[in-house]
Amino acid sequence: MVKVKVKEGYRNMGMGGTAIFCLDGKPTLEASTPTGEFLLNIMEYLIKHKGFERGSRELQDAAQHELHRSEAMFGGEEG
Amino acid sequence: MNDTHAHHDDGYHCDPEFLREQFRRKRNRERNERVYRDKQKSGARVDGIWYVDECGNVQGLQSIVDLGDGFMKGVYYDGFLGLRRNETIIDTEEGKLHFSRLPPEPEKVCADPKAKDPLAETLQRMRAGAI
Repeated sequence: MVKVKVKEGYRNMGMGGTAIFCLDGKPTLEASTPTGEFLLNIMEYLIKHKGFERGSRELQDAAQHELHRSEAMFGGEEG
Repeated sequence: MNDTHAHHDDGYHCDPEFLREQFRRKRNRERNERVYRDKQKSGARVDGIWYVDECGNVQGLQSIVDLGDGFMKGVYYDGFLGLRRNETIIDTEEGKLHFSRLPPEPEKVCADPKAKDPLAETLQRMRAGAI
């Protein structure tokens, strides 16, 4: 397993993450910030359940949108 | 027409419960990191050898890893007992760090208590100001 800096296509998301390239060649990402982890989990969900293409601009935009939406929806809830 | 709009949203957005859980995890991690930074600002050396817990006891903290979801795992060295233990640090609802100790490592329990431990010696020297 080889770790590299955050891969091309995710660099504008404000994520200080690293990409882990697995033996099957499919890259997964590892976030180093709470927001980065949130975005990664959302992206994985959108890829798996909503058919978004991994690494696409649309996927990043959708994840960012979900980030803002979650803050609006749950930001007032008790922790 | 409203139905059409609703279907569009449902197809695009995450399941609300999934989104809530992810938001909760993010908020917990942010709170943990805030507590961690506050500790640093207060003068406690949380990233070094020494760490002051909520009871005011000085612990020798070797490393700390945020596992997310409100949990951080720290490995520290207890200079008082001369035993190294794994320790799980739980972020309580009040945002304070709370220590939950795991049992000592078996090899440490069975070890000769008089045997010299290089880590214990290092801590003693540090406390004495020799390092």
